[in-house]
Amino acid sequence: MVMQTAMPLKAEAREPGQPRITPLRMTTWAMFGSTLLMVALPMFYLLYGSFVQDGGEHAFTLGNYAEVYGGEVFLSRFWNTVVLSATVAVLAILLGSLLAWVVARTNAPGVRKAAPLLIVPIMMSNLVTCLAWIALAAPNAGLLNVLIFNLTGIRRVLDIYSFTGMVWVLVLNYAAFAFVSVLGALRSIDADLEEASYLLGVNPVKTAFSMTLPLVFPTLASTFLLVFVFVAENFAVPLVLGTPSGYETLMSQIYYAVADTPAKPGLAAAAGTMLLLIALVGTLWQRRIMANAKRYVTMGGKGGRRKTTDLGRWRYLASAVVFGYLFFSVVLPYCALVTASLMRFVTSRLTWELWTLDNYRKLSDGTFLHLLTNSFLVAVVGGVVAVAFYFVLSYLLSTSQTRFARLTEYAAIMPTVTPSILLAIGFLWAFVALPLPLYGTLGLIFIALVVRSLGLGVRQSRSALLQVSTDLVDAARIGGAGPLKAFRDIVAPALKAPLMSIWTLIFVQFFLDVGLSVVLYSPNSMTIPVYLWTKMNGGEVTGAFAIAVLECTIIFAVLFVAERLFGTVRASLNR
Amino acid sequence: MKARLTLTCAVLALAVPAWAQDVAPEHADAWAFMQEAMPGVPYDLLAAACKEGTVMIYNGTWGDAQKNQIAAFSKRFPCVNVTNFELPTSERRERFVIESKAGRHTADIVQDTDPGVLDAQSDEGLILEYKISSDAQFADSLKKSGYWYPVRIALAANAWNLDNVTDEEIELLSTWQGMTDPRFKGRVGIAMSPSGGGGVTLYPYYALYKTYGEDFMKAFAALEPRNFSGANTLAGALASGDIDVALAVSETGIIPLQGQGAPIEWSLPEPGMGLATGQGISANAPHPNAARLYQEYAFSDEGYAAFNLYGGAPAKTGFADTRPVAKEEWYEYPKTFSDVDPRLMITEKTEFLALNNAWFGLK
Repeated sequence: MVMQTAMPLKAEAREPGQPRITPLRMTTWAMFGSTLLMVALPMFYLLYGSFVQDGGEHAFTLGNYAEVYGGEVFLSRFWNTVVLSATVAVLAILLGSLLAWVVARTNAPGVRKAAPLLIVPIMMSNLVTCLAWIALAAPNAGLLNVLIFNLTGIRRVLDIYSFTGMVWVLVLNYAAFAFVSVLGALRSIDADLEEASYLLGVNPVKTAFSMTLPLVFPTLASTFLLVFVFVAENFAVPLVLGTPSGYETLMSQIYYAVADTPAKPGLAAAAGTMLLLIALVGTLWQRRIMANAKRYVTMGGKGGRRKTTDLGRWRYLASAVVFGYLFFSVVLPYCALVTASLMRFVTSRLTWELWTLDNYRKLSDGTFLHLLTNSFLVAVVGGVVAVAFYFVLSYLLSTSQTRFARLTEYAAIMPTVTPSILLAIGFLWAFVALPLPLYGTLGLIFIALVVRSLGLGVRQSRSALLQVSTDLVDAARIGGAGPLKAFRDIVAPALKAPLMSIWTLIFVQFFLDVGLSVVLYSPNSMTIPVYLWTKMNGGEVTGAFAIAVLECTIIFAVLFVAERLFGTVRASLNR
Repeated sequence: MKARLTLTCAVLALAVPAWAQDVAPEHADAWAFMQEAMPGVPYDLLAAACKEGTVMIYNGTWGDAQKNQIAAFSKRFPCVNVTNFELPTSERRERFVIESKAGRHTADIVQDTDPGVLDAQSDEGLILEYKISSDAQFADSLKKSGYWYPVRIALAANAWNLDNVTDEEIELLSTWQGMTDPRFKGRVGIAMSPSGGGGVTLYPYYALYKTYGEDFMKAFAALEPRNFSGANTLAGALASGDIDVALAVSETGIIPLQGQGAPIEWSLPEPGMGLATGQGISANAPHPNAARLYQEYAFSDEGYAAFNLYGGAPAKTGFADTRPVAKEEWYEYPKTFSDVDPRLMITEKTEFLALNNAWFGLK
C-alpha cells in the first residue's frame, strides 16, 4: 500500500545568507495582500454600515446589534436557520454518501454510466428548482397533487410550502455536492482495506461504518460545513417556500431588511454577523479536524485497487436509489421547467390555448446574445482566472505559517459565509466611492465573484493539494528545485484533474450568480441570471422559465464541451 | 373689425416667437410636436437635450411599458438615445441613493413605487426641482408638484380564479367588506411581509385598517390566509388555481397573467386604494436637459399612453385608459379614492406592523 502524507505544508524558513526578498516572498505578499484587500474593502464598509443608523443622519449606533442580538425576532430566525441548515446538511450528506458508495463500491447495474449526471443538480439554480417544484407540488394545483387526486381521490397529499418542502428542495440540490466530495474521498481509499475487512467476516454495512466512514470523515466534515453555510445563506428557498408556512430564516429576514422601506442595510449587515459566527465556529471545528488530517491519510492517493462489493439482489434497489435521485432532482424539475416555459402561465388545467413559443421568441433578439457573451466572459474565462488564483493562493497558504498567512486564510472564509446580497452591498458601497473605472463593469462583478467564492475555492484547492504526496515535493527540493519549480513540475501536473473539477464548480457558481450581480450590474454588464431575476420580478414567470431552460442548457453544453476537451466532469468524479 | 384686428395681433404675438425661433431643420418635427404636446416648453430645452444626446432611466421591472414609451419617445426625438436600466425596487433605490451620495451620478431619471421614498428623496435634495408642463393634470395627492409625478397607480384589488368561485362570491368580492366573509376561509392568499416591505405591499392593509378599523382586520385574519413571499408568487398561485382568491393584492401583479389568458378577474372596490409609482429627475443628472425632455414626454398624452398600454392604471386626470383590460365589461375603475395618506404610513409603520403581525400571526 502506498502511504503518502498530505501536502506539505512546511514553513519557508530563511536560511543565513538568503536574501530577504525573493520572488516567492514577493508573490506570497502580493497574493496575501491582494486577497486581504479584496476581502477587507467590502467587509469594512459593511461593518461600518452596521454601526450607522439606517436612513437617518448616519449617526453612530449600537442599535442594529441590540435589535439583532437582543430582540426575539432575529434570535428565532437564527435558531430556524440552524435547524434548517443542519437538517439539510445531514440529510444531503447521508444521501450523497449513499450515492457515492453505490457508485464507487458496489456492483449496482448502470450506476457508473449515470454517475456524471449526478452532478447536474449542482448546475441548476435553486430558485428555479424551487419554482419548478411549486408547479409540481403546490398543495391544490401542483401537477403531482392533481395526478394523485385523479388516481386516488385524495387531495393535498404534497405541500411544497412547508419545512419539509424546503428540506426536500435543498437536499435534492446539495446531495449532489456531497456526492462529488464523498466519491472523491472514497475513490482515494485503497479497496484492499475494505477487502481485508470482508475477509475477516465483517459485513459491508459494518465495514462502511466502522472503517470507511472514519476514513472519509474529514471530507464529510468539510462538506457538512459547506452545505450548512450554503443553506444558511440561501434566501430564495426560505423566502418562496418558507414564508407561506411562517418559517422565516435569518436570510429571509436580512432580505426583508434590505427590501424594506426605508431600507435597513445596517440592520441587515449586523444580522449578517450571526452567519459569520456560525462560519467561524465551523471553521475552527474544521481546522481541528484538518490539523489531524494525517490520522486519516491511510488513503494512499490512487495507488490502491478498487474492488466492488457484490450486493446480490439488493443491487437493483441500489440502482433504484441512484436513478430515483436523478429522476426527482433532475428529470422531474427539468421537465416541469420545460413544460412551464411553453405555457402562457403555470397551471395544471391544460388546454390547447395554454401553449406558446412566445417565451422563447422574445429571446431571439440581440439582447440575449449580449447577455450570453457577458455570462461567458464572467463564468468561462473568469472561472479559469479564478481557479488559477485560488490554487496559487492555497499553495502559498500551505507553504507559509506566518500570521499573515493565517489572517489571509481566515479572511478568505468571510465572504463565502456573508450573504451574497450583503456582500454585494459592501462592494457597492466600496466601489461607488473609489475613483476606479470598475463601477458597473463586468470587471467588478468578476472581482466580487472571485471574492465570494474564495472560501470554497481555497478549501477545494487545499483538499486537492492534500492528495499530493509531500514525498515527491521533498524529493524535488532535495534535488535542488526551488518551491516554484517544485510547484510547476510536481504539484501542477498532479493537480490537473482537481483543477478541472474545481473549475467546473466555480464555472457553475459564477454562471448562476444572481445575488451579487443584481446589485452590481449595469445595462452593459447584465448577465443571463440577472435577466431571469428581473423577469421574475416583473411577473413574467413563464418567460423566466424559458430563460432558465436556456441557462441550464447552456451550462450543460459548456460542460459537455469541457468534458470532451479536458475531461472536467470525469475529473470531478475521479478526484 | 377692431376685434378681429385685436385677435390677429394677439395670435401673431403668440406665434411670432415660435416663428422667430431659429429651429434647426433636423429638429423641426420634434419642435412641432413639442409645441402641441408640451406647451410652454422652450426650444432651448430640445436643442440642449439633443446636444447631450443621451438619457439614462432607472426604471422598475415593468420593462414592456417602459420600452414601449422609450420607442415612442425615440421616434419623436431621435437625437436623444435612451438607456433603460431595469432594476428591482430595493436594488434600484439603493443604487440611486448610494450613487447620489458618493457623487457618482449615473441616473438621469428615477422611478419608485413608494411616494414616501420619493418625497424623502426630494426633501434630501436628490430629486431635481422641475415642474412639468402638464403638472395641473395630476392630483396633488398623487404627486409632489415640481419634483415627481405618477406614471401609474398600483391599485389594490380583490382577485379571484374564475374556475374556483361562484357568481355570488364574486359579488361579495366587489366590496372591501365582502372579503371578510367566512366562506373564503382557507381559500385566500395574501402577500404580506412581517417587516412591512415596500409601500405597495403594505399600504392596502394600512388603508383598510384606517378605514374600517381593527374588527375588520381581525375578521380578515380569521380567514387564515396563506401568506406568499411577494405579489408575483401570489399571482402565480391564483392563476394556477392553488388559491381561489387573492385579497388586497396590487393589480399590477395580476395583469400580466390575466393578459396571458389566466382565468383571473378582479374588482377594485370603493374607495380605491393604491399608491402612485412616481418618476422624477435626479438632482445631479448627467444629462439634465435630456432628462427634462423625457420627463415632459413621459407625462404628455402620447408618452403617457405608450406607458399605460402595458403599465398600470393611469393617474392622469381625464386620461382614457388604453389598457386592454380597461375595455373588459367586468372591469370598473374606482370612482372614489381612499383619503388615507400614504405618507402617514411611514411614521406609523412600527405600531401598525405590531398590530398587523399579531392579527395575521406573522412572526
